Amino acid sequence: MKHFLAAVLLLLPVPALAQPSLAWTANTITTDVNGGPIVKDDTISIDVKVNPNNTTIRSVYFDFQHQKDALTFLDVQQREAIPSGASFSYTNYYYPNCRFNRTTGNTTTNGWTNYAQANYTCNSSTVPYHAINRIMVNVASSQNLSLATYVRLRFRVTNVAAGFAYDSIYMNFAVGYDAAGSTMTNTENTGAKGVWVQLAPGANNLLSGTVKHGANVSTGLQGLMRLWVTDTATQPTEVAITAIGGAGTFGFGSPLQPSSWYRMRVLVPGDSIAALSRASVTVSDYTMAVQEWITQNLDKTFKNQNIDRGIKYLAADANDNDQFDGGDLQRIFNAVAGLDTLMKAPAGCSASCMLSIPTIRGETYDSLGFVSWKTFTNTIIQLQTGTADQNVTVKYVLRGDVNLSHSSPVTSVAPAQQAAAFTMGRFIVPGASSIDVNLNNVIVTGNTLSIPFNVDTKSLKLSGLQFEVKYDPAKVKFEKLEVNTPSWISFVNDDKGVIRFGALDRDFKNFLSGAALVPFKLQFSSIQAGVDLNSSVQIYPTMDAADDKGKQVGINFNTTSIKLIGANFFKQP
Amino acid sequence: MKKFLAYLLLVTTVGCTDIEFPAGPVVVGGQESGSDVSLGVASATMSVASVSGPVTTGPFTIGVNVTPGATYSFQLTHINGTVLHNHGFTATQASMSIALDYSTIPAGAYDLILMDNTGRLLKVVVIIQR
Repeated sequence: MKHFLAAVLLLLPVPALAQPSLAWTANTITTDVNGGPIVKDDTISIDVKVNPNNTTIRSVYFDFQHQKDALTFLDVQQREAIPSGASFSYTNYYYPNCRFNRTTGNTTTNGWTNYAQANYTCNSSTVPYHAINRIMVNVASSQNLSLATYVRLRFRVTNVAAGFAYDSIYMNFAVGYDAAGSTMTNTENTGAKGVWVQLAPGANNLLSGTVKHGANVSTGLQGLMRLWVTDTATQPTEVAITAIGGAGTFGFGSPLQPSSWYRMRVLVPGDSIAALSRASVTVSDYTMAVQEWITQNLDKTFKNQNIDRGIKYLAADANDNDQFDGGDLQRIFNAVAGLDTLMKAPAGCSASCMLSIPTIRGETYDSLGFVSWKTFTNTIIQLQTGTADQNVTVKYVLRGDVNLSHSSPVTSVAPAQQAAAFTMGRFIVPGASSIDVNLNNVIVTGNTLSIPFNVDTKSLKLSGLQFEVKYDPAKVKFEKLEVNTPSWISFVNDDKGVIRFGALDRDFKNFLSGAALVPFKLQFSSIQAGVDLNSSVQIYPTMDAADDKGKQVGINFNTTSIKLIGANFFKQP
Repeated sequence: MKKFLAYLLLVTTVGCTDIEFPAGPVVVGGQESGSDVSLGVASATMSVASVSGPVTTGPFTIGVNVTPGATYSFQLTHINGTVLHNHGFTATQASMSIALDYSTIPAGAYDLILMDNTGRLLKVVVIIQR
C-alpha cells in the first residue's frame, strides 16, 4: 500500500514554476514621438513589455546600453502593465564610456544568467561613444501586473555630425522581483537584444545628390551603373558604392567620415561600355565637330558656334591630347563608321568588371570654358566632407559624344543644351526641326526583299543621316545597303543581327533635301522560302540626322517595326 | 591607316551606290518562287466593320471592308509576335464577313492582325476564354 501511495504521489502533476518575461516591443523604430520620420534633435521612445505569466512580478532591474553621443537618455515612464494606483519610481546609475561585452554566456534568454555573466569594458579611448544605464524600476501594488507595456524609455536624438556610425540600443538584461521582494532568477529576456533607431533617409548623410544621366542612356544600363566613393586617388580603396538607376539620387552616411577627402567616380559595367560608346558617337557628333573645325578663325581659334560649351570640346577631344584638332575628327569619323570604338573595356574586363568614366561636378561641367577645358584634368570628383550633408550634382561625359546625347546634359534653359531623346517613333532634339522617315511593311514574294527608308527632310538641308536596325539572322540574311545620297561617304556595319548604317557629307557642300527621298535601301535574302517568311525588322534608338550646319535634328518615324510577311500568308486556306 | 584608306575608297559614293556587306556565303535553303503567288489587285480599302465580340471560346466572326480582287491575311499573334493562326483570303466583294475558328488556340489575349497586300496593318484584340 505504501508503495502504491508513493507511486501515486510520484505520478501527480507538479505545477511548473511560472516565468515572467520582458522584451522590447519592437526591434526597429522609424518614427519620433510625434509619428514623423526621425531626424536629429527629435525625441524618440522605445517600450519594454512584460508578460507576468501568473507571477507577482513587480520591480525590474535593467541594464541598457546606448550611444551617449548619438542619443541622450531622458527618462523612464510608467505604462499600462502597471496597475493604476501603483507606486512607481526608478533610479538610474549611468556608466559613460562602458560597453557590455557580449558572449554566449551573457546573451541567453535568462535575465539572471545574463546579469551574473555580465562583463564590461570601460575606457574612454576604446569605448568613446557607448554608455550603460543600470535602471531599477520600483513598483509596489496590491494588484498583479498585466500583459502589456511595462515601461517606456525616452531619448533625444543628438545633433551629432553627419556620417556618425550608429549602433542599436541594447537591453543587456532584465531581472524581475516579485511582490515579496524575492529575486526572480527565472525571469526570461525574450526576443532580440537590440532596438535599431532608423533615421529618416538622408538624416545622417555626409554626401547626397544626383547623378544626371544622359537622356539616351537606357534605363536598363542606368540600373547597372554605380557611383563609387574611394579614399585614395592612385590606389582606390572603396569606402562606399551605390546603384544610381532611375532618378540617379544617392546618399552616403556612416561609411564616410566627417571632414575627410574622397573621390567619386561613375562606373559602367565592362561589357556595356563599348555599346554605350558606339551608341553615343553618331553622325551629328561628327558633323558638329567638323563644322566647328572648318569654320575656325585664321588665328586657330574657334567660333564656338557648333561646339558651344567647354565640356563639348572635352568630349570632342577624341585623341585626348588636350586640343581640338583634325585628329579628333578622324577618330570620331572612325567611330561613326564603326571602324573604331572610342571607349571600350580592356581585355578580360566583362560584366563583373566595372570601368570608370569621366566624372565631373555639375557646376564645373556646366561652366567649363572654351580655354579652360584644355587644362582640365579632374575627371574624378574630389571633395572633402564637412560635418553636415553636402549636396553634389554628378555628371559624366563620354569621349566623342560631342552633342552630349548620351552624356549628362548641360544645365541650361537654352534648348541647344538639352540632350536629344528617343521616344517610341520619335527622336526628339529639343528646339530643333525634324525630318520624317516612313517605313512600310514588306510582302515577300521571293527570296530577296528590300526595305526602303523614305525620307522627307521637311525643307531642311541634311549633311548626315544614320540609323540602326535589328533583324533576325535565323530568318533573313543581310545582303547589302543601297545608298542614294549626293556624293556622301557611306558606312555600314552588320554585327550579329544589328546593322548600323548611314552617310554624311564631309565637305558640307552637297546637302540632302526633298520630300520623297529614298537615301537608303536595306536588302536581305530569306533563309527559308521567302513566301513563308514571317519576321520583322526593328528600328533601334541609335539614329541621328544633322543639318547643313552640322547640328542635330529630330526624326519622326511612322513606325519602329517593319513586318516581313511571306505571300503565302495571303493564300486561301 | 591602310585599312582605313581602303575603307574610304570602298565607301566613298557618288550617286546611287550599292555597298556589299559582307561578301558572305550565298543564301542557304529557300527557293525562288513567286510565280504561283498572286497577290491580286492592290488593296485600296481596308477597315474593320464589325466583330462578333472580343471575347470568344473559339468561333470568331469579323466583318471587313476590302477591295474586291485584293488579297488579305488575318494573323492571330501572341504578344511575343508568334503567329498562332493564319487565314488568307481574296476579297470577292467590298464588304465581307469572315468566319474564323480559334477552338484549338489556348485561352489568352491575342492580337488579330489584318494585313493587306500593300503592307498595311489593322489590329483587333481577341480574348479566348473557356
